[in-house]
Amino acid sequence: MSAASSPNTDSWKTGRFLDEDLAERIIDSAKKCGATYAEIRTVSNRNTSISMRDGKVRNAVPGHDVGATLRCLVDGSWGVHSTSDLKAIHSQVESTISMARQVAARRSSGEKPASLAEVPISTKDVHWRPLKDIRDVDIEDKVAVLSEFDSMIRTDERIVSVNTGFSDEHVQTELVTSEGMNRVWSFQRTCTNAVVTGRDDSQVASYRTRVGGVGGYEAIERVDLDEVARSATESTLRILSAERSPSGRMNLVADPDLTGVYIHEALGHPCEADLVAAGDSCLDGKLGEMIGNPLVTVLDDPTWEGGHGSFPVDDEGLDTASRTLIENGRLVTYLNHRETAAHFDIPTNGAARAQDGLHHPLVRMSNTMIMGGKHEDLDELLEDVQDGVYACGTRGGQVDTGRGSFQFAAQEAWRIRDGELAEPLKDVSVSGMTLSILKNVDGLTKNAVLASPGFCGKGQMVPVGDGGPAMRIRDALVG
Amino acid sequence: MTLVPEGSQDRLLDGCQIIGKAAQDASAPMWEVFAIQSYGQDVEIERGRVSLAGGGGEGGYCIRVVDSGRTGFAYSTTPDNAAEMVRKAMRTCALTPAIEGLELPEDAGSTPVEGMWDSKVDQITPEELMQQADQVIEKVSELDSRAIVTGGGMALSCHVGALLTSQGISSGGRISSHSAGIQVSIDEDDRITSGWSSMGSRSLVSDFDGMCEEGVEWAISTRNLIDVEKNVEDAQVLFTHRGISGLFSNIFCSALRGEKLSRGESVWSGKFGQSILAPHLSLVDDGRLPGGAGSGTRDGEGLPTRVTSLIDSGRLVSGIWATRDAAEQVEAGNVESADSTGNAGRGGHHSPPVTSFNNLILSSSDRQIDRESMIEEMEHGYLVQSVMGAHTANPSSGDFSVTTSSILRVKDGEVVGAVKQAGLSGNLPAAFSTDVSLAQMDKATPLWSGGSIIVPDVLLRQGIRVNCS
Repeated sequence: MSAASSPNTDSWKTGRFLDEDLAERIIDSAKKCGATYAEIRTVSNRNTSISMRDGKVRNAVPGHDVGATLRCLVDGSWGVHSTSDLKAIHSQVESTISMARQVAARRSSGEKPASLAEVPISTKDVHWRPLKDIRDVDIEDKVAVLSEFDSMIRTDERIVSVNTGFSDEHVQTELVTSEGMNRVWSFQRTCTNAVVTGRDDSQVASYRTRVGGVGGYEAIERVDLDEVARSATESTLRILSAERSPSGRMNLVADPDLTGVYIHEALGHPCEADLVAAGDSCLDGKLGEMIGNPLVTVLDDPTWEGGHGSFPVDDEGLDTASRTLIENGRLVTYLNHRETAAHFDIPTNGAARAQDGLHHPLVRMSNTMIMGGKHEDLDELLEDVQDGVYACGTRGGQVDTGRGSFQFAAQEAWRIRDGELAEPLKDVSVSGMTLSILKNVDGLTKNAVLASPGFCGKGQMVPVGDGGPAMRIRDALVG
Repeated sequence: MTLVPEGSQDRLLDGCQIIGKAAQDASAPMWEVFAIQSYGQDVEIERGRVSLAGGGGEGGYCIRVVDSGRTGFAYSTTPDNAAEMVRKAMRTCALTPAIEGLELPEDAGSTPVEGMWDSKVDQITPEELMQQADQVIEKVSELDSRAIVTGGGMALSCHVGALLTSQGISSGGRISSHSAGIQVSIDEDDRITSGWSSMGSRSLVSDFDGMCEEGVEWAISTRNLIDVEKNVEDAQVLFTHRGISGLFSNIFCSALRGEKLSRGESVWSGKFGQSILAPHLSLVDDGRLPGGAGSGTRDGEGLPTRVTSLIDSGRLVSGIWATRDAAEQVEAGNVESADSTGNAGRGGHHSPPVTSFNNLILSSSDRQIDRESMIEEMEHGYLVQSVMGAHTANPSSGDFSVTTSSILRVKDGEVVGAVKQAGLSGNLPAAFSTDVSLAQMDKATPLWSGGSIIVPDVLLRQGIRVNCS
């Protein structure tokens, strides 16, 4: 089910953006100034961004960003310096150490200093080589694909506007640490998206769709864009004539897209160990406890093939692997980075991610999934629902990890009456308390799939994937 | 020692000139070079103590080329590869459609906006910033010994920018900002309640007491849970300025962009001159508000900023425009005429300028009273401080369905307790078009509580469904 995205080929290496000798001199300098641990992480992002409106190119921007972050642990506290001026970073070592010392001086005697869990020290480079390197595809060809996608959508006069976008990136990260870690890894990510707006008399409706994930140009070429366009058009028109959502507690069936957002928001975030350590998670102290229905198994997998949130090595240099967060309803572990693994004395699981070279790593999700259950298909899941809502797609969500409350919104929905889909609904949102809702999941279809690519903000924006099977929840608060 | 290195401004302008020269050498008919360099310091607070201190800087250069109505764009972190940047911009130019009448703006002069730079922000040391964070942590603890700053931090930033164009604009400037945000939590009797507050200014802030008080107040007031009838009702809802700003921004900002109005994408498309909000409400975009979060002497294309009336006494009078959108929509025949309203915004050097708001200010010609008096007058309803999911509102229709755990029940003109969680739904433009009142802008309101959205507390008497099931 889960597999590494591509073969590892050292021959695909590109040159380093921060000279290796300079990086080592910076690390040596930090050690001499008193750092117990120091790292310098340099990220190069070579990308293309194209936006189109009603078939006409708005912008086509080939870009290249490079940034580096120096992170020093001194007396159990962190100092950080980030810059796009790689030549100047050497001059910032002393001030970064000084800041860390000032933070350390504020720690009270009872507080635990930050420390790092032991990890294997690797010098191995990893490159997820795409089938079709985005750097070898002309920008004109990317524009042509987007133009075709756009024309597939504008097939009904009620569609008044179509905004489409294409983005790709080749990400190369270099990490040199005071522990001897010295490695380079790279991968590519390619996506396309559309926002479709329809108007009918006084009604206006919009629908968003996004496809793609980690991989080269093949991540788009393997998608049936005609089908994506047809589906987006149909959904937009359906929402135009849909009725407002009912409000109240009712049975909810979520499609894989919405199931994914639910598990990302409601469970994934409270599972992030930096939030748990900060006292901002409803899962604090619940390791090993039953927190959900035994039907529920959740994993977070950065190696999921084609996942939008996949990456080969985390931003502290750890090789990635799938990790199970909930197994048959029981909380197994927190997502962690080295500091929080040491804090909770649990095994590391490589969840350190930074937005780019200008940010320091936080604990972040990758591709978060609820695994499949026992119901054969959607029809079987709907069969027992006398009255409820079937909600599909996502307009996003939000969570209060401390209080354990969440909200997410569907793109479109149907009323369920007597086990069958009835009238279409619009503006359906679902909210609840994580620990109650997980116990109210009472049905999952067999087939878990990765849903639409997404982005997650936690002060820093990172690409993520999520998904699952269709999921039935009893007594959900629908708005 | 200052945050901004000496000579930064001159270096940026020199870099712009190198790239401009490369554009001239490549015979680019019209070009515009923009450069920005940002410097900052930040302190993170976690579980009641300073947990990390950081600093850094980033920036770069970009060029936009206009050739026979086509536009191309490219960027780089240095001007060293100016010729390559220009070549890329001209190549992408060929991919865009020709827009008749599209030209880069000529220099129309400018008058500086006051209060955009404070040298004290530039001079503060990391230790001083950490001391401010210490004071915030102590103040919260003083206000309630159970309260802890579980997350947040303080940040300083200074931005230096430059713009040079083939049309005679040569401009440079700098802005500073100082901001803070805290999440205050009380964890007692197996229940966590939280309050969130933030503030910001272009000047150095020395008094964070208002921010601390607001955070602690909401962490305390949401502890007093009351039993409410489990039902769904249409109710009066008083949104605090913080509670309404996310929904307001997501729905109203989108609806008032010129190109969205002209293309039928806005809930108010086709309604110019018509009454769309309650007749006592007016909305302006003010790019010249002294010290404003979204203010500036010039916009991202070098045009002077100004005050644009968008909704006057409830009637839709204008949208906002940047040069390209205006030319494009005129050419498409979606609008008879349109010119830039000085609303070209830049998110940095990575992307071309786009139409964006400066400071959006909502006001009322009706009598405005303070929050407490408004609670008395509403008699029955709810007071909401924050919502989850404002970004999931539908900007095309104005419909929203969000949830809140920062909601207080009002009965007989008094707050009687907190509701654990409730759903709120409705259509925001419709709710603002009927029975709506604005509170006085609270003098104690932390600066920039809604960023560049300046909206007081709002009482919506109709059109909001509250779901306490």
